[in-house]
Amino acid sequence: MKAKNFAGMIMTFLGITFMIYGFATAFFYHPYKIYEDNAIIFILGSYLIIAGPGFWIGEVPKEVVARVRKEALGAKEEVKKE
Amino acid sequence: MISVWIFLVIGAVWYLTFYFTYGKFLQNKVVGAEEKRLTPAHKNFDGIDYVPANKYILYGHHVGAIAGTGPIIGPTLAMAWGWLPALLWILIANAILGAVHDYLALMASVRYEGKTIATVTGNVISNRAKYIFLWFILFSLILIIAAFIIFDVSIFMLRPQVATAILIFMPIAIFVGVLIYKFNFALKYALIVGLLLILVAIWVGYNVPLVITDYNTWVTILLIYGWLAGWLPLWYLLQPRDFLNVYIMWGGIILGAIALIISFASFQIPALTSYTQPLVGYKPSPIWPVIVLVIACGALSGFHSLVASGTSARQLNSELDALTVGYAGMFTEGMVALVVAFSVASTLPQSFQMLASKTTFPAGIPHTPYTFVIANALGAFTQGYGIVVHNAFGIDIIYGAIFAGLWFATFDFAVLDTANRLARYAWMEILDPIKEKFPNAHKILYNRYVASIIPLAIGGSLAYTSTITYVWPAFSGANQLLAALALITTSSWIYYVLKKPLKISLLAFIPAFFLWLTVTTALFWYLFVVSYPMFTTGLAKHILTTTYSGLLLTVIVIFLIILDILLIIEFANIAIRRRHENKAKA
Repeated sequence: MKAKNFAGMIMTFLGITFMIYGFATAFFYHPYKIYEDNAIIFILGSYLIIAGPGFWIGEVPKEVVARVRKEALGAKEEVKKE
Repeated sequence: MISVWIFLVIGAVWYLTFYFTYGKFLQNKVVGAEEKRLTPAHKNFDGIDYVPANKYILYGHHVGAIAGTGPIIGPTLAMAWGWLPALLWILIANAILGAVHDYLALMASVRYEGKTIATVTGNVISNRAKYIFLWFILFSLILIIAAFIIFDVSIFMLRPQVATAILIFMPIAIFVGVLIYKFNFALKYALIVGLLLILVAIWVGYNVPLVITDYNTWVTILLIYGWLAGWLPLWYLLQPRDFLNVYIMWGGIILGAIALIISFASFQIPALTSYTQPLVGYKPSPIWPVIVLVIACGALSGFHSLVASGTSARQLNSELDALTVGYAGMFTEGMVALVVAFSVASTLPQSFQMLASKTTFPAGIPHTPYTFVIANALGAFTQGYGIVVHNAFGIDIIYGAIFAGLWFATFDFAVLDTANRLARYAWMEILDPIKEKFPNAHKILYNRYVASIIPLAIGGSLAYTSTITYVWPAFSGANQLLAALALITTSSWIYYVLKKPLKISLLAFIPAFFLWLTVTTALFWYLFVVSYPMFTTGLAKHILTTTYSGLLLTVIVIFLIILDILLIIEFANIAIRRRHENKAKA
């Protein structure tokens, strides 16, 4: 595992931890809310989860992207040539 | 009371009539689209950017890309004038300007290998015109960044439930991305999982709102997101999120339209309240020319030419599909605008009663439903949508309002990161001419971290210091001017490249010229009535934020007007030169 992948993994787990922590703090309030500083920790967690997997798992192989594009766009099997 | 469903039906019939008459005329007689001519998706197939897509799926994605948030704010604000001006502008401008613009931009790009509209302008007009166009795009994107940051902050402060839902929605999109890309899940199953989880996110948001009470803290949070999204590897987020967004949007449109019809909603405001409601900068704003500064998407938008030429043109399976994707896509956006406008118009007095106490009205402005919709456009839309859905299905108003807020905010985030990336690309392309003369400066300014922070810093500074009633019209004006110039480019393409008779090219040119005249007049009005007085008032009262935002908006608008005039001169010069060349040849 490269340093970049490792950093991505740490970011993802930290993100999950921060989100769970931020969410848990909501139960100290009535009615429940994620409030001010705790909200910032929750948001930081969300950002880390957004960024982490990109570094951790790395680039998506082109053939996988192509498969998903084909499925998503209902792409034609046959490509016409001039 | 007039029922709104009558006008929904009139709108649908209007659009279908134009589609089968004017649309087919453009396809067959103007552009000469042919099944046998290969599209860039086939010629340059790479399985990623260039993919021949299913016509209807591409239409769905194209509409998702163009109709995310734009047709929500403009029509909502315009309800301050009453429902009639917005209805007429959306129906007429969409049919003779917006749909023509989108279709021609798409087809011109298809004939230029799926290149961007700026490159098409470079090919059809001149290289100088291309760079002016790029500056235009950059300024429009800076204003988009400012406007959409303000929107997100407004919605999160008004409805903290939406903030929780969207911050949970992002990891859900990542989760769906990992299922698709890492674990090879079939797309449809991964999307079903994602959509079920979104319902959970809405429920969690409803029960556990996320509250940050300081406006500037929210702006900073969104700026950090925008900057990260400008350069981070987000392939696990962007595509799955966009797929999910499309379903949220279609769900929102269909649910809203059905709810309007089965609840027998009727207009609760007059057709015309006043010709000069204080819509822009709280100054009396005459419907003409200011309507172009208020309703952008839904009627016409230059941003669509960036979507059509950048992505959709590369995925078109056949030239004949362009009419459905580009032309009908714009009509669909018009229908979204009508659904939004009617949801607001049929609930405005009720929303005003419910939310007036949570709305900040500027000093000296009377508290009426019409000033409420200006001061709290997002509140009016989300509450109105919630009420309509409640009246139709009995669902709690707050659930409908959270869903409407989530619909808006998810697209808002998408626009924010897309705009920041596009602004970075435009900035990098603008720097090309200095590469050889000033290599060191080029290297620093071209750096992706620097390039992504410059537009964000300018847009962000506006978000800190200004409000939507000032920033949205400036963005809207830039956007409409971009559309006018794209239309002029495409009419030149019809005349010079497709070699069609002048009267055919005038079909695009005359409305484009009318639009150009209207928007240019509106921008002068904005400069002298709104932004410059804002600057001088700030100076006189020693309010730094007002002075700064007034000055920045004034500078940007002056710059846009100068670019606009330069581009028109360039168009005229090229036309005269080509005429002389043709005469010499003859």
